[in-house]
Amino acid sequence: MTKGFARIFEAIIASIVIIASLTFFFALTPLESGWGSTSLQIISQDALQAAYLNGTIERYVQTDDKQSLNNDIGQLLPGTVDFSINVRGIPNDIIRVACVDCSSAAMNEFALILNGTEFKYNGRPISIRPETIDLASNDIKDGTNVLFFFDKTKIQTYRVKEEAFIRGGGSVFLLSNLNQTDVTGYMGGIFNLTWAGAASQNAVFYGTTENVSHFVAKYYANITSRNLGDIADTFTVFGSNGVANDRKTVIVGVDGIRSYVRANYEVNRTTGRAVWFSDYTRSDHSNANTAAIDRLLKATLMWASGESYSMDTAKKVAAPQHFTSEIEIFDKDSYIFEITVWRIFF
Amino acid sequence: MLLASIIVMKCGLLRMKGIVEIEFIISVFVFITSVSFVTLVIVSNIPLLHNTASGENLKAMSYQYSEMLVFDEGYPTTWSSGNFADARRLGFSSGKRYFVDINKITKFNTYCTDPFVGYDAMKGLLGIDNSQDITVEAIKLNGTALVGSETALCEPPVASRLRQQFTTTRLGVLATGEIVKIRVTLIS
Repeated sequence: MTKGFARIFEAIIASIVIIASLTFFFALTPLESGWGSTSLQIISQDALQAAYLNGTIERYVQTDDKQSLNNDIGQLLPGTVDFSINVRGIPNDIIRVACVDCSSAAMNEFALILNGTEFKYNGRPISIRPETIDLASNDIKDGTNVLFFFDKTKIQTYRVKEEAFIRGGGSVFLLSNLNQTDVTGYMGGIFNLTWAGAASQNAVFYGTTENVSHFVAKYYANITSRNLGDIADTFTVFGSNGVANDRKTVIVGVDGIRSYVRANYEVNRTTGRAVWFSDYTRSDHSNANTAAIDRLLKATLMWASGESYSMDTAKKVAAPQHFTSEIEIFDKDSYIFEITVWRIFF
Repeated sequence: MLLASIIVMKCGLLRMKGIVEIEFIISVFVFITSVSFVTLVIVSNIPLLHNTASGENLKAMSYQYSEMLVFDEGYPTTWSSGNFADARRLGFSSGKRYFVDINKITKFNTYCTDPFVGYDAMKGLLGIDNSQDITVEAIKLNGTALVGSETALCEPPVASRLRQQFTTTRLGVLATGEIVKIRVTLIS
Protein backbone atom coordinates (compact mmCIF):
# COMPACT_ATOMS: atom_id res chain seq x y z
CA MET A 1 0.00 0.00 0.00
CA THR A 2 2.88 2.34 0.92
CA LYS A 3 4.68 1.38 -2.31
CA GLY A 4 1.54 2.15 -4.35
CA PHE A 5 1.18 5.54 -2.69
CA ALA A 6 4.82 6.37 -3.42
CA ARG A 7 4.31 5.58 -7.12
CA ILE A 8 1.21 7.78 -7.25
CA PHE A 9 3.10 10.57 -5.55
CA GLU A 10 5.99 10.07 -7.99
CA ALA A 11 3.60 10.29 -10.93
CA ILE A 12 2.10 13.54 -9.64
CA ILE A 13 5.57 15.08 -9.22
CA ALA A 14 6.50 13.95 -12.75
CA SER A 15 3.34 15.51 -14.16
CA ILE A 16 4.10 18.82 -12.44
CA VAL A 17 7.64 18.77 -13.86
CA ILE A 18 6.33 18.01 -17.37
CA ILE A 19 3.76 20.81 -17.28
CA ALA A 20 6.25 23.25 -15.81
CA SER A 21 8.75 22.43 -18.56
CA LEU A 22 6.05 22.84 -21.20
CA THR A 23 5.44 26.40 -20.08
CA PHE A 24 9.12 27.03 -20.78
CA PHE A 25 9.14 25.43 -24.23
CA PHE A 26 5.79 26.78 -25.30
CA ALA A 27 6.25 30.34 -24.14
CA LEU A 28 5.39 31.71 -27.56
CA THR A 29 7.32 34.96 -27.60
CA PRO A 30 7.74 36.23 -31.17
CA LEU A 31 11.32 37.05 -32.10
CA GLU A 32 12.30 40.69 -32.51
CA SER A 33 11.95 41.55 -36.18
CA GLY A 34 14.55 44.32 -36.17
CA TRP A 35 12.35 46.86 -37.98
CA GLY A 36 13.10 49.48 -35.33
CA SER A 37 16.82 49.42 -36.06
CA THR A 38 16.26 48.93 -39.79
CA SER A 39 14.16 52.07 -40.09
CA LEU A 40 16.87 54.00 -38.25
CA GLN A 41 19.51 52.73 -40.65
CA ILE A 42 17.33 53.59 -43.63
CA ILE A 43 16.74 57.14 -42.49
CA SER A 44 20.42 57.70 -41.67
CA GLN A 45 21.44 56.44 -45.12
CA ASP A 46 18.77 58.67 -46.69
CA ALA A 47 20.05 61.63 -44.67
CA LEU A 48 23.60 61.08 -45.92
CA GLN A 49 22.52 60.76 -49.54
CA ALA A 50 20.20 63.76 -49.41
CA ALA A 51 22.78 65.94 -47.64
CA TYR A 52 25.40 64.94 -50.20
CA LEU A 53 23.18 65.49 -53.22
CA ASN A 54 22.07 68.95 -52.16
CA GLY A 55 25.66 69.98 -51.40
CA THR A 56 25.32 70.34 -47.63
CA ILE A 57 28.17 67.99 -46.78
CA GLU A 58 30.76 69.47 -49.17
CA ARG A 59 29.83 73.02 -48.18
CA TYR A 60 30.19 72.55 -44.46
CA VAL A 61 33.22 70.26 -44.61
CA GLN A 62 34.91 72.79 -46.89
CA THR A 63 34.20 75.68 -44.53
CA ASP A 64 34.61 73.53 -41.42
CA ASP A 65 31.22 74.80 -40.22
CA LYS A 66 30.40 72.15 -37.64
CA GLN A 67 27.43 73.95 -36.12
CA SER A 68 25.53 74.37 -39.40
CA LEU A 69 26.35 70.82 -40.47
CA ASN A 70 25.02 69.41 -37.21
CA ASN A 71 21.89 71.56 -37.44
CA ASP A 72 21.15 70.43 -41.00
CA ILE A 73 21.82 66.74 -40.37
CA GLY A 74 19.76 66.97 -37.17
CA GLN A 75 16.78 68.20 -39.19
CA LEU A 76 16.97 65.14 -41.44
CA LEU A 77 16.96 62.63 -38.59
CA PRO A 78 14.13 61.84 -36.16
CA GLY A 79 14.11 63.88 -32.97
CA THR A 80 14.59 60.79 -30.81
CA VAL A 81 18.05 59.99 -32.11
CA ASP A 82 21.46 61.46 -31.52
CA PHE A 83 24.35 61.25 -33.95
CA SER A 84 28.06 61.73 -34.35
CA ILE A 85 29.85 62.80 -37.52
CA ASN A 86 33.32 61.73 -38.60
CA VAL A 87 35.30 62.59 -41.72
CA ARG A 88 38.01 60.25 -43.01
CA GLY A 89 40.52 60.56 -45.84
CA ILE A 90 41.48 64.23 -45.69
CA PRO A 91 43.84 66.05 -43.30
CA ASN A 92 42.34 66.96 -39.94
CA ASP A 93 40.96 70.45 -39.49
CA ILE A 94 43.01 70.83 -36.31
CA ILE A 95 46.28 68.92 -35.99
CA ARG A 96 47.37 68.84 -32.38
CA VAL A 97 51.08 68.08 -32.14
CA ALA A 98 52.75 67.30 -28.83
CA CYS A 99 56.48 67.92 -29.13
CA VAL A 100 58.03 65.50 -26.65
CA ASP A 101 60.40 67.08 -24.10
CA CYS A 102 60.99 69.99 -26.47
CA SER A 103 62.83 73.02 -25.13
CA SER A 104 61.74 76.51 -26.13
CA ALA A 105 64.58 76.51 -28.69
CA ALA A 106 63.20 73.29 -30.18
CA MET A 107 59.70 74.78 -30.26
CA ASN A 108 61.07 77.84 -32.06
CA GLU A 109 62.79 75.56 -34.52
CA PHE A 110 59.53 73.65 -35.02
CA ALA A 111 57.72 76.93 -35.71
CA LEU A 112 60.37 77.85 -38.30
CA ILE A 113 59.92 74.48 -39.98
CA LEU A 114 56.14 74.85 -40.13
CA ASN A 115 56.40 78.48 -41.34
CA GLY A 116 52.82 79.26 -40.35
CA THR A 117 50.41 77.05 -38.50
CA GLU A 118 47.16 78.39 -39.96
CA PHE A 119 46.77 77.73 -43.65
CA LYS A 120 44.35 76.45 -46.24
CA TYR A 121 44.37 73.10 -47.98
CA ASN A 122 42.09 73.00 -51.03
CA GLY A 123 40.28 75.97 -49.52
CA ARG A 124 39.74 74.20 -46.18
CA PRO A 125 41.15 75.91 -43.10
CA ILE A 126 43.79 73.78 -41.36
CA SER A 127 45.38 74.60 -38.06
CA ILE A 128 48.52 72.94 -36.72
CA ARG A 129 48.75 73.43 -32.97
CA PRO A 130 52.13 72.44 -31.57
CA GLU A 131 52.86 72.43 -27.86
CA THR A 132 55.56 70.93 -25.76
CA ILE A 133 54.93 68.03 -23.42
CA ASP A 134 57.05 66.64 -20.62
CA LEU A 135 56.12 63.03 -21.10
CA ALA A 136 57.99 61.85 -18.00
CA SER A 137 55.57 63.62 -15.70
CA ASN A 138 52.48 64.16 -17.86
CA ASP A 139 50.05 62.03 -19.77
CA ILE A 140 49.31 62.74 -23.40
CA LYS A 141 46.43 65.20 -23.64
CA ASP A 142 43.13 63.98 -24.99
CA GLY A 143 42.75 65.05 -28.62
CA THR A 144 46.46 64.96 -29.44
CA ASN A 145 47.03 63.66 -32.96
CA VAL A 146 50.80 63.47 -33.27
CA LEU A 147 53.67 62.86 -30.85
CA PHE A 148 56.65 64.65 -32.37
CA PHE A 149 60.23 63.69 -31.45
CA PHE A 150 63.40 65.58 -32.28
CA ASP A 151 65.36 63.23 -30.02
CA LYS A 152 65.40 59.60 -31.12
CA THR A 153 66.45 58.34 -27.68
CA LYS A 154 63.09 59.45 -26.26
CA ILE A 155 61.31 56.96 -28.52
CA GLN A 156 62.69 54.10 -26.41
CA THR A 157 62.32 56.02 -23.13
CA TYR A 158 58.58 56.62 -23.49
CA ARG A 159 57.68 53.42 -25.29
CA VAL A 160 54.83 52.48 -22.92
CA LYS A 161 52.94 55.78 -23.28
CA GLU A 162 53.80 55.91 -26.95
CA GLU A 163 52.45 52.42 -27.68
CA ALA A 164 49.24 53.17 -25.80
CA PHE A 165 48.90 56.35 -27.84
CA ILE A 166 49.36 54.43 -31.09
CA ARG A 167 46.78 51.84 -29.99
CA GLY A 168 44.33 54.71 -29.57
CA GLY A 169 44.89 55.77 -33.19
CA GLY A 170 47.61 58.38 -32.58
CA SER A 171 50.70 58.96 -34.69
CA VAL A 172 54.38 59.14 -33.83
CA PHE A 173 56.68 61.39 -35.86
CA LEU A 174 60.48 61.22 -35.54
CA LEU A 175 62.74 63.82 -37.14
CA SER A 176 66.22 62.38 -36.74
CA ASN A 177 69.04 60.61 -38.51
CA LEU A 178 69.31 56.91 -37.67
CA ASN A 179 72.19 54.49 -37.54
CA GLN A 180 72.23 50.72 -37.98
CA THR A 181 71.81 50.08 -34.24
CA ASP A 182 68.66 52.23 -34.17
CA VAL A 183 67.16 50.53 -37.18
CA THR A 184 67.79 47.02 -35.91
CA GLY A 185 66.51 47.95 -32.43
CA TYR A 186 63.14 49.11 -31.06
CA MET A 187 62.82 51.99 -33.50
CA GLY A 188 63.14 49.66 -36.45
CA GLY A 189 60.12 47.82 -35.11
CA ILE A 190 57.82 50.76 -34.51
CA PHE A 191 58.72 52.48 -37.78
CA ASN A 192 59.10 49.13 -39.57
CA LEU A 193 62.57 49.92 -40.96
CA THR A 194 65.39 47.81 -42.39
CA TRP A 195 69.01 48.82 -42.93
CA ALA A 196 70.60 49.26 -46.37
CA GLY A 197 73.88 51.07 -45.57
CA ALA A 198 74.22 54.80 -44.92
CA ALA A 199 74.67 57.46 -47.60
CA SER A 200 73.59 61.04 -48.24
CA GLN A 201 72.12 61.78 -51.62
CA ASN A 202 69.47 63.71 -53.48
CA ALA A 203 65.97 62.36 -53.05
CA VAL A 204 62.61 62.47 -54.80
CA PHE A 205 59.03 61.32 -54.15
CA TYR A 206 58.72 57.53 -54.21
CA GLY A 207 55.72 58.01 -56.48
CA THR A 208 52.89 60.45 -56.84
CA THR A 209 50.23 57.95 -57.79
CA GLU A 210 50.29 55.34 -55.05
CA ASN A 211 50.60 54.62 -51.33
CA VAL A 212 51.45 57.18 -48.68
CA SER A 213 53.83 58.92 -51.08
CA HIS A 214 50.83 59.89 -53.21
CA PHE A 215 48.99 61.52 -50.29
CA VAL A 216 52.04 63.40 -49.03
CA ALA A 217 52.84 64.55 -52.58
CA LYS A 218 49.23 65.72 -52.97
CA TYR A 219 49.40 67.77 -49.76
CA TYR A 220 52.87 69.06 -50.70
CA ALA A 221 51.62 70.13 -54.12
CA ASN A 222 48.67 71.96 -52.61
CA ILE A 223 50.63 73.87 -49.97
CA THR A 224 53.16 74.88 -52.65
CA SER A 225 50.26 76.04 -54.88
CA ARG A 226 50.89 73.50 -57.60
CA ASN A 227 49.16 70.51 -59.13
CA LEU A 228 50.16 66.98 -58.24
CA GLY A 229 51.19 66.30 -61.83
CA ASP A 230 53.71 69.15 -61.71
CA ILE A 231 55.62 67.79 -58.73
CA ALA A 232 59.09 66.68 -59.78
CA ASP A 233 61.07 68.25 -56.93
CA THR A 234 64.46 66.97 -55.88
CA PHE A 235 65.35 67.32 -52.19
CA THR A 236 69.03 67.95 -51.80
CA VAL A 237 69.86 68.50 -48.13
CA PHE A 238 68.87 65.31 -46.34
CA GLY A 239 71.35 63.86 -43.86
CA SER A 240 73.19 60.58 -44.27
CA ASN A 241 70.90 57.62 -43.61
CA GLY A 242 70.64 53.97 -44.57
CA VAL A 243 66.98 53.01 -44.24
CA ALA A 244 66.02 50.63 -47.01
CA ASN A 245 63.48 51.67 -49.63
CA ASP A 246 60.17 49.82 -49.93
CA ARG A 247 56.54 50.53 -50.82
CA LYS A 248 55.96 52.52 -47.62
CA THR A 249 58.67 54.98 -48.59
CA VAL A 250 57.59 58.57 -49.11
CA ILE A 251 60.91 60.04 -50.25
CA VAL A 252 63.50 57.82 -51.90
CA GLY A 253 67.14 58.43 -52.80
CA VAL A 254 67.73 58.91 -56.52
CA ASP A 255 69.44 55.51 -56.71
CA GLY A 256 66.25 53.89 -55.40
CA ILE A 257 68.02 52.08 -52.53
CA ARG A 258 67.40 54.27 -49.47
CA SER A 259 64.40 55.99 -47.94
CA TYR A 260 64.67 59.47 -46.48
CA VAL A 261 61.09 59.69 -45.34
CA ARG A 262 59.17 56.55 -44.55
CA ALA A 263 55.66 56.07 -43.23
CA ASN A 264 54.26 53.14 -41.34
CA TYR A 265 50.53 52.62 -40.97
CA GLU A 266 48.42 50.16 -39.02
CA VAL A 267 51.33 50.06 -36.58
CA ASN A 268 51.15 46.87 -34.49
CA ARG A 269 47.74 46.13 -36.09
CA THR A 270 46.20 49.35 -34.82
CA THR A 271 44.96 52.43 -36.65
CA GLY A 272 48.06 54.28 -35.43
CA ARG A 273 50.65 55.71 -37.78
CA ALA A 274 54.39 56.32 -37.51
CA VAL A 275 56.64 58.48 -39.64
CA TRP A 276 60.39 58.54 -39.69
CA PHE A 277 61.74 61.70 -41.33
CA SER A 278 65.46 61.97 -42.02
CA ASP A 279 67.04 65.06 -40.51
CA TYR A 280 68.29 67.68 -42.94
CA THR A 281 70.30 70.87 -43.04
CA ARG A 282 68.21 73.25 -40.96
CA SER A 283 70.65 76.08 -40.32
CA ASP A 284 68.83 78.52 -42.58
CA HIS A 285 65.11 78.09 -43.22
CA SER A 286 65.16 80.82 -45.84
CA ASN A 287 67.39 78.62 -48.00
CA ALA A 288 65.30 77.26 -50.86
CA ASN A 289 66.51 73.66 -50.42
CA THR A 290 65.78 73.69 -46.69
CA ALA A 291 62.43 75.41 -47.22
CA ALA A 292 61.41 72.67 -49.69
CA ILE A 293 62.00 69.99 -47.06
CA ASP A 294 60.27 72.16 -44.42
CA ARG A 295 57.16 72.13 -46.62
CA LEU A 296 57.59 68.40 -47.17
CA LEU A 297 57.63 67.90 -43.39
CA LYS A 298 54.47 69.96 -43.08
CA ALA A 299 52.78 67.85 -45.76
CA THR A 300 53.92 64.65 -44.03
CA LEU A 301 52.55 65.97 -40.75
CA MET A 302 49.17 66.43 -42.48
CA TRP A 303 49.20 62.73 -43.38
CA ALA A 304 50.36 61.83 -39.86
CA SER A 305 47.34 63.67 -38.43
CA GLY A 306 45.49 60.41 -39.03
CA GLU A 307 43.24 61.91 -41.72
CA SER A 308 40.22 61.28 -39.54
CA TYR A 309 38.42 63.85 -37.43
CA SER A 310 35.13 64.49 -35.73
CA MET A 311 32.73 67.22 -36.83
CA ASP A 312 30.65 67.08 -33.65
CA THR A 313 30.01 70.29 -31.79
CA ALA A 314 30.47 68.55 -28.46
CA LYS A 315 32.18 65.34 -27.44
CA LYS A 316 29.71 62.47 -27.80
CA VAL A 317 29.72 58.83 -26.78
CA ALA A 318 27.47 56.55 -28.79
CA ALA A 319 24.91 54.34 -27.05
CA PRO A 320 25.80 50.62 -26.86
CA GLN A 321 23.50 49.91 -29.80
CA HIS A 322 24.37 52.25 -32.66
CA PHE A 323 24.64 52.15 -36.42
CA THR A 324 27.21 53.69 -38.69
CA SER A 325 26.49 54.71 -42.26
CA GLU A 326 28.99 56.26 -44.59
CA ILE A 327 29.13 57.87 -47.98
CA GLU A 328 32.06 58.64 -50.24
CA ILE A 329 32.15 62.30 -51.17
CA PHE A 330 33.75 63.32 -54.44
CA ASP A 331 34.92 66.87 -53.96
CA LYS A 332 38.39 68.36 -54.58
CA ASP A 333 39.58 65.34 -52.61
CA SER A 334 37.47 62.24 -52.22
CA TYR A 335 36.77 61.39 -48.60
CA ILE A 336 34.45 59.34 -46.42
CA PHE A 337 31.70 61.08 -44.49
CA GLU A 338 30.52 58.86 -41.68
CA ILE A 339 27.53 59.22 -39.40
CA THR A 340 26.86 57.13 -36.30
CA VAL A 341 23.29 57.22 -35.03
CA TRP A 342 21.69 55.86 -31.89
CA ARG A 343 18.40 56.18 -30.08
CA ILE A 344 18.45 58.51 -27.10
CA PHE A 345 15.95 56.33 -25.23
CA PHE A 346 17.02 52.70 -25.25
CA MET B 1 -10.03 -32.48 -15.36
CA LEU B 2 -6.60 -30.95 -15.32
CA LEU B 3 -7.28 -29.28 -18.65
CA ALA B 4 -10.55 -27.85 -17.31
CA SER B 5 -8.88 -26.37 -14.23
CA ILE B 6 -6.15 -24.76 -16.42
CA ILE B 7 -8.82 -23.13 -18.61
CA VAL B 8 -10.63 -21.78 -15.51
CA MET B 9 -7.37 -20.31 -14.17
CA LYS B 10 -6.56 -18.71 -17.54
CA CYS B 11 -10.01 -17.15 -17.68
CA GLY B 12 -9.49 -15.78 -14.20
CA LEU B 13 -6.13 -14.25 -15.20
CA LEU B 14 -7.66 -12.72 -18.29
CA ARG B 15 -10.36 -11.14 -16.18
CA MET B 16 -7.71 -9.63 -13.90
CA LYS B 17 -6.02 -7.89 -16.89
CA GLY B 18 -9.18 -5.84 -17.38
CA ILE B 19 -8.75 -4.13 -14.03
CA VAL B 20 -7.31 -0.59 -14.57
CA GLU B 21 -4.60 0.33 -12.14
CA ILE B 22 -4.33 3.74 -10.45
CA GLU B 23 -0.95 4.45 -12.14
CA PHE B 24 -2.58 4.03 -15.52
CA ILE B 25 -5.36 6.42 -14.60
CA ILE B 26 -2.85 9.01 -13.42
CA SER B 27 -0.67 8.69 -16.49
CA VAL B 28 -3.68 9.12 -18.77
CA PHE B 29 -4.69 12.14 -16.73
CA VAL B 30 -1.18 13.63 -17.00
CA PHE B 31 -1.11 12.97 -20.75
CA ILE B 32 -4.50 14.57 -21.35
CA THR B 33 -3.62 17.53 -19.13
CA SER B 34 -0.34 18.09 -20.96
CA VAL B 35 -1.90 17.91 -24.40
CA SER B 36 -4.73 20.20 -23.32
CA PHE B 37 -2.27 22.65 -21.87
CA VAL B 38 -0.18 22.80 -25.03
CA THR B 39 -3.29 23.17 -27.16
CA LEU B 40 -4.62 25.96 -24.98
CA VAL B 41 -1.31 27.82 -25.03
CA ILE B 42 -1.13 27.63 -28.82
CA VAL B 43 -4.75 28.58 -29.32
CA SER B 44 -4.58 31.49 -26.91
CA ASN B 45 -1.46 32.82 -28.64
CA ILE B 46 -2.83 32.65 -32.17
CA PRO B 47 -4.48 36.13 -32.07
CA LEU B 48 -1.33 37.64 -30.60
CA LEU B 49 0.92 36.01 -33.20
CA HIS B 50 -1.45 36.93 -35.97
CA ASN B 51 -1.42 40.52 -34.80
CA THR B 52 2.37 40.53 -34.67
CA ALA B 53 2.62 38.99 -38.13
CA SER B 54 0.18 41.52 -39.49
CA GLY B 55 2.21 44.33 -37.91
CA GLU B 56 5.42 43.01 -39.45
CA ASN B 57 3.72 42.72 -42.80
CA LEU B 58 2.54 46.31 -42.46
CA LYS B 59 6.08 47.50 -41.77
CA ALA B 60 7.44 45.64 -44.77
CA MET B 61 4.67 46.97 -47.03
CA SER B 62 5.18 50.51 -45.77
CA TYR B 63 8.89 50.27 -46.57
CA GLN B 64 8.16 48.81 -50.02
CA TYR B 65 5.74 51.61 -50.87
CA SER B 66 8.21 54.24 -49.67
CA GLU B 67 10.89 52.68 -51.90
CA MET B 68 8.55 52.58 -54.85
CA LEU B 69 7.36 56.16 -54.49
CA VAL B 70 10.80 57.71 -53.90
CA PHE B 71 12.94 55.65 -56.28
CA ASP B 72 10.57 54.72 -59.09
CA GLU B 73 9.61 57.09 -61.88
CA GLY B 74 6.29 55.34 -62.45
CA TYR B 75 5.03 54.09 -65.80
CA PRO B 76 4.92 55.78 -68.18
CA THR B 77 7.71 57.94 -66.76
CA THR B 78 5.75 61.02 -67.83
CA TRP B 79 2.56 59.89 -66.07
CA SER B 80 2.18 63.27 -64.42
CA SER B 81 1.70 65.03 -67.74
CA GLY B 82 -0.97 62.63 -69.06
CA ASN B 83 -4.39 61.48 -67.91
CA PHE B 84 -4.94 59.33 -64.87
CA ALA B 85 -6.32 56.58 -67.12
CA ASP B 86 -2.95 56.34 -68.90
CA ALA B 87 -0.95 55.96 -65.67
CA ARG B 88 -0.02 52.36 -64.96
CA ARG B 89 2.29 52.88 -62.01
CA LEU B 90 2.96 55.86 -59.75
CA GLY B 91 6.36 57.07 -58.57
CA PHE B 92 7.92 60.43 -57.67
CA SER B 93 11.48 59.88 -58.92
CA SER B 94 12.79 62.22 -61.59
CA GLY B 95 15.07 59.46 -62.86
CA LYS B 96 18.12 60.00 -60.68
CA ARG B 97 18.28 58.17 -57.38
CA TYR B 98 16.98 60.27 -54.47
CA PHE B 99 15.82 63.07 -56.77
CA VAL B 100 12.06 63.56 -56.72
CA ASP B 101 9.98 65.50 -59.22
CA ILE B 102 7.81 68.25 -57.74
CA ASN B 103 5.40 67.95 -60.70
CA LYS B 104 4.78 64.28 -59.97
CA ILE B 105 4.20 65.02 -56.29
CA THR B 106 1.77 67.80 -57.15
CA LYS B 107 -0.06 65.60 -59.69
CA PHE B 108 -0.31 62.78 -57.16
CA ASN B 109 -2.04 65.20 -54.81
CA THR B 110 -4.27 66.54 -57.59
CA TYR B 111 -5.42 63.06 -58.63
CA CYS B 112 -6.18 62.09 -55.05
CA THR B 113 -8.34 65.14 -54.41
CA ASP B 114 -9.95 65.01 -57.87
CA PRO B 115 -13.62 63.97 -57.50
CA PHE B 116 -13.33 61.99 -60.76
CA VAL B 117 -10.30 60.01 -59.57
CA GLY B 118 -10.15 60.15 -55.80
CA TYR B 119 -8.53 58.14 -53.06
CA ASP B 120 -10.00 54.76 -53.96
CA ALA B 121 -8.77 54.88 -57.54
CA MET B 122 -5.30 55.92 -56.34
CA LYS B 123 -5.31 53.11 -53.82
CA GLY B 124 -6.25 50.69 -56.55
CA LEU B 125 -3.44 51.92 -58.79
CA LEU B 126 -0.97 51.56 -55.96
CA GLY B 127 -2.15 47.99 -55.49
CA ILE B 128 -3.29 48.42 -51.91
CA ASP B 129 -5.53 45.68 -50.60
CA ASN B 130 -9.13 46.58 -49.70
CA SER B 131 -8.46 45.82 -46.06
CA GLN B 132 -5.66 48.38 -45.92
CA ASP B 133 -5.31 52.12 -46.34
CA ILE B 134 -2.41 54.40 -47.18
CA THR B 135 -1.47 57.97 -46.36
CA VAL B 136 1.31 59.67 -48.33
CA GLU B 137 2.71 62.96 -47.08
CA ALA B 138 5.31 65.37 -48.48
CA ILE B 139 6.79 67.70 -45.90
CA LYS B 140 9.45 70.39 -46.04
CA LEU B 141 12.21 70.23 -43.43
CA ASN B 142 10.57 73.10 -41.52
CA GLY B 143 7.47 70.92 -41.10
CA THR B 144 5.22 72.74 -43.57
CA ALA B 145 3.42 71.15 -46.50
CA LEU B 146 5.33 70.82 -49.74
CA VAL B 147 2.16 70.99 -51.85
CA GLY B 148 -0.93 72.98 -50.84
CA SER B 149 -1.78 73.60 -47.23
CA GLU B 150 -1.97 70.00 -45.99
CA THR B 151 1.06 67.79 -45.57
CA ALA B 152 -0.93 64.77 -46.77
CA LEU B 153 -0.86 64.29 -50.53
CA CYS B 154 -3.29 61.44 -50.37
CA GLU B 155 -5.15 59.97 -47.40
CA PRO B 156 -8.28 57.94 -46.71
CA PRO B 157 -11.47 60.01 -46.31
CA VAL B 158 -12.00 58.61 -42.82
CA ALA B 159 -9.03 58.55 -40.53
CA SER B 160 -8.79 55.94 -37.83
CA ARG B 161 -6.46 56.04 -34.90
CA LEU B 162 -7.49 52.62 -33.65
CA ARG B 163 -6.25 50.57 -36.57
CA GLN B 164 -2.72 49.27 -36.62
CA GLN B 165 -0.44 51.47 -38.70
CA PHE B 166 3.23 51.97 -39.50
CA THR B 167 4.98 55.01 -40.93
CA THR B 168 8.17 55.01 -42.98
CA THR B 169 9.87 58.35 -43.54
CA ARG B 170 12.16 58.77 -46.53
CA LEU B 171 14.11 61.74 -47.81
CA GLY B 172 14.20 63.03 -51.35
CA VAL B 173 15.88 65.95 -53.06
CA LEU B 174 14.09 68.33 -55.41
CA ALA B 175 15.76 69.73 -58.53
CA THR B 176 16.24 72.98 -56.58
CA GLY B 177 18.35 71.13 -54.00
CA GLU B 178 15.67 71.34 -51.34
CA ILE B 179 15.32 68.21 -49.20
CA VAL B 180 11.79 66.92 -48.58
CA LYS B 181 10.44 64.19 -46.35
CA ILE B 182 8.16 61.64 -47.99
CA ARG B 183 6.16 59.91 -45.30
CA VAL B 184 4.25 56.73 -46.12
CA THR B 185 1.79 55.37 -43.54
CA LEU B 186 0.18 52.03 -44.16
CA ILE B 187 -2.96 51.29 -42.14
CA SER B 188 -4.19 47.73 -41.70
